Amino acid sequence: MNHKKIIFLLVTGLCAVAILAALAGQIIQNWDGSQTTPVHQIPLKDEFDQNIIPTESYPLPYSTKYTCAPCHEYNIIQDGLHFNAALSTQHGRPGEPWIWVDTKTGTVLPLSYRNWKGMWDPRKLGLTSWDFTLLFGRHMVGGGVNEPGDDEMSSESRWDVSGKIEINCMACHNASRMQSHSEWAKQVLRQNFRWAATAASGLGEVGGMASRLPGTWDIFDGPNPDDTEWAVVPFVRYNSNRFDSKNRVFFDIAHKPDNYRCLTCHSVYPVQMKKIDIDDDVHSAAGLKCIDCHRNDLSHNMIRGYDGEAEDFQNPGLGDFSCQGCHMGKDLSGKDEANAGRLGAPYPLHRGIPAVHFEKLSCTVCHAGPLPSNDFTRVRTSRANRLGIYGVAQWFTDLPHIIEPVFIMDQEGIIVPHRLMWPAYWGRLEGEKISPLKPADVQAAAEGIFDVEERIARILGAIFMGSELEGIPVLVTHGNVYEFNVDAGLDVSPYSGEKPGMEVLWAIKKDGKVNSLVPDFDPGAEELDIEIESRIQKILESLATMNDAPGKPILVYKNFMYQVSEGYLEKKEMPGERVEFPRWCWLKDNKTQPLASEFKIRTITATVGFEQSLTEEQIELVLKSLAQTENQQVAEDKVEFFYISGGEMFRIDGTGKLTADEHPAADPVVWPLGHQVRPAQQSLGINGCYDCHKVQSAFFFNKVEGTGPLKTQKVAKRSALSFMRMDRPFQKLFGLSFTVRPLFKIILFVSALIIGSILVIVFLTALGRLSGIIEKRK
Amino acid sequence: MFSIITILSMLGLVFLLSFLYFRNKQERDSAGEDSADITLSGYFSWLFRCIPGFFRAVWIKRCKELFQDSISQRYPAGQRWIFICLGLSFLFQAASGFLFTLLGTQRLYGLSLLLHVLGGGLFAVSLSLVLVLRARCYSFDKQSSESKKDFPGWYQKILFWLFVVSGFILIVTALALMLPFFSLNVQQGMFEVHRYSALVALLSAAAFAYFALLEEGK
Repeated sequence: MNHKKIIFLLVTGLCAVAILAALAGQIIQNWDGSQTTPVHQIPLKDEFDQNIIPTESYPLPYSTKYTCAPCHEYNIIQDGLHFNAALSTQHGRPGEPWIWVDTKTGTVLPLSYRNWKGMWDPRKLGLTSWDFTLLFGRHMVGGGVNEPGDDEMSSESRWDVSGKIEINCMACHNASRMQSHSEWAKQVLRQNFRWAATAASGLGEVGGMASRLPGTWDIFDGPNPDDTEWAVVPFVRYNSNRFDSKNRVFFDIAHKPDNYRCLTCHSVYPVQMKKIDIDDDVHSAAGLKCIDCHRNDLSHNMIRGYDGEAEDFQNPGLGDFSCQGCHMGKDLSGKDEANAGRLGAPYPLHRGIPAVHFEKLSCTVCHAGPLPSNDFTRVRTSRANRLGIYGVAQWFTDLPHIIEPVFIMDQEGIIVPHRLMWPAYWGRLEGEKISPLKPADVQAAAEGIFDVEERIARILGAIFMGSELEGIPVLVTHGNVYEFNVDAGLDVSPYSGEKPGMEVLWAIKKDGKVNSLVPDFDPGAEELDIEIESRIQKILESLATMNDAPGKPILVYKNFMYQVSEGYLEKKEMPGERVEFPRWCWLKDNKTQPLASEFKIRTITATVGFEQSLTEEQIELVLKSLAQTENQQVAEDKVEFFYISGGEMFRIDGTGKLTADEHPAADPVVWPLGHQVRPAQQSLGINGCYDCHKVQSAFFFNKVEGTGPLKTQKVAKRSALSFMRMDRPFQKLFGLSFTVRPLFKIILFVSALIIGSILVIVFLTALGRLSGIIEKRK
Repeated sequence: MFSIITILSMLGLVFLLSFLYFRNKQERDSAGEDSADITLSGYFSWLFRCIPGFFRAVWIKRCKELFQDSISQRYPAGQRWIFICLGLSFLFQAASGFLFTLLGTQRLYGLSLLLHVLGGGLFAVSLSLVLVLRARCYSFDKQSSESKKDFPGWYQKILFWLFVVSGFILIVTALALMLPFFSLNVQQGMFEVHRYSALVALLSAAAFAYFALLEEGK
């Protein structure tokens, strides 16, 4: 054997050993045909692929990537539907966007990494994976944008501190009721990303907050023994009862996730309905699980089950799981035979419903979502309105305002029920190019315009904290009483007392009665009542503690001014206009200004207690402020700033006034709805044609009005027919025709009876003649 | 498929009737002579010569004369209007139905469908009245051939009853499609029956009109 042969054999042998070694690390479990789920009594592994020993002093959270990986290929799973939004090129039918809601700036911006109409790609808005995870990680399952590659990490992100959010397998597959979505959301918002799955699964208790740690901290630094109060390093205390003697943990795995796991992120409910009145989807009620139709293999590419999915993804097998495919054995085109009747899907007879309905309407028009009524049904969804997070605080939000069912004709000419929301955002218009602005940027450019309610709440809060009042400080104006609440905002209630002498009265509310902050007194008297003097002083001192106080707090009454100087209440004569009622003011540069400006009073009067949080005046001021940031460009008409709300685009015109007009960027954003599916007895049309075909039909003649954070009369209005691309006069006429249809049917019936009778006579006569019966009688 | 059958059957009927007309005309023109050219080549050269005649105003005049001979002068005013209603409603039904089938990519919809349904009502009423008034004339009784003017020949009788039967099926299927009794599959079957009945009605009406208007009047 020569040297070359020896070297060749050595190299070959080494390669073979290397390949075998690599394969040994990945034990791929092929399905053996059994329909059981193996018991998952497995060791936990951390993100460094080390076994977790719960009794260690600072155990790390478990990593799904390494704990589940020996049997399940993480790399294949991470291309699944729930994780691949930012990477996939095939997106299929539009789905629900992630909706960025910022109530302060009135931003309600639909986002999606998928290329769906009306939805903004977060990357184009400058939102990094970090930003997106902070905004929406509460309702995400990890992986994808929650787990960016090292090259995707932006400089301002804190992934090294928080860790990445690996795919949280247990979010879906945990059959245990210990799986807590609220815990997940809490940990994500604390930036405890790598700990979130452990905390949510109930394997251990997680404490500390990564959000309070310095950006230089990383997992190798471990806990900080010097700070056990504020910047506590996140830690996990495993529940040792869950571990066996080999430090293995039992995972109660549901191969097919239970419905409530899906509903954590996919719940939708009508706002006006009580929980007791809500029925399950007819499929769930029949015992099906979500996953029975929305199934997937290891790739985790869930079947979405819409008509046309088979064509979109060139996979005929998907057609089995659309409504038509499963119930009727047809796909959308009606050509390919699907494997109908799976899981006992009944074949619908649809007695008496003209065939055109099946050509023009999707099944969901009649069978899914709420029945059409004069007012569209407002719904909240898990991801848009932050549902399913429980705690002391109220997590769910009123915005975005989503309505359903809006019937819209899709590109194939089929009418499909949709959910609809109107976007609201600030933006920059450069030629034809629209660029939405981030809420933080808008707020920075418009200081003091948005936080009106908070500022007044802070004033009331400051008075309450420092004045030892026997009641709650309130603001009385425009027939309403405003008091601060725990959310640093204001609550409003109607004022029922005597009309105050001034438009704005700072007062105390006690036992439902409202009195002035200080009882009436004579400022001209030599000495003030000690109680009044003490109260004035305390109020002024507490107002002075406010960080954003625009000046020194003073009380002006008649020709006198009270202020606190060096710890004493000082009274000064004040030349000028005589003030008939005590007025609390700020003194700045020897000029007085009211505690709350007229603008602030106007704003809270218009917005507090209403769903809308902005006024046109605020919009105008903010747009002007934004214009000043790019003064030169705006002056040359190269750049324009706008605000979109209720389907209208608001801009400042050449004369400096606020104008509103419709613009494609303000169009509503829609996505089809698939559930809740109602049983046949509750389907649209069960009561006959009149369910839709009548002169005042909600189905055809409803109107969608623009909604948004701006309180304005200028909102877009769209008719239901315009969404369906139909003519109003014809549908009115067609609806009217149904009033004479019974008569028409009688006429047809009588005509048919006459003709039929004569034909029978002719036939019988001919038969009689043929048989000779008639001839014989003659 | 239906479109192909419709076009072929219509062309076939036009060919058949025009050839019949050509043959009868040749026989009449060469009465007693042996030189009648009743061949296909003779037919096509005759047809070619006739085509310009379709574009002359005299054609309209001829139609008016035919109408007066066949309807106006033969029946009282009340009956006359029933015939007119039947003819016009049937023409409209045929035009709206078949034009959509042959030219359109989808079934009847919108205003056309609404008018088609309304026209169907008029057709049903007028057909039943015509039948009540005229069925006797089209019975296959031997005595009925006494007066040739009132009692047409066998061809016409067969065509008349064919039209009535197909009209009856048209009315029944239209009515059934409006009733909440039938499943989608049955409805689709009835729709097919409706279409083919309409085709039979159209062909029988065209043949009937040929015999009633052209052959009878010569």
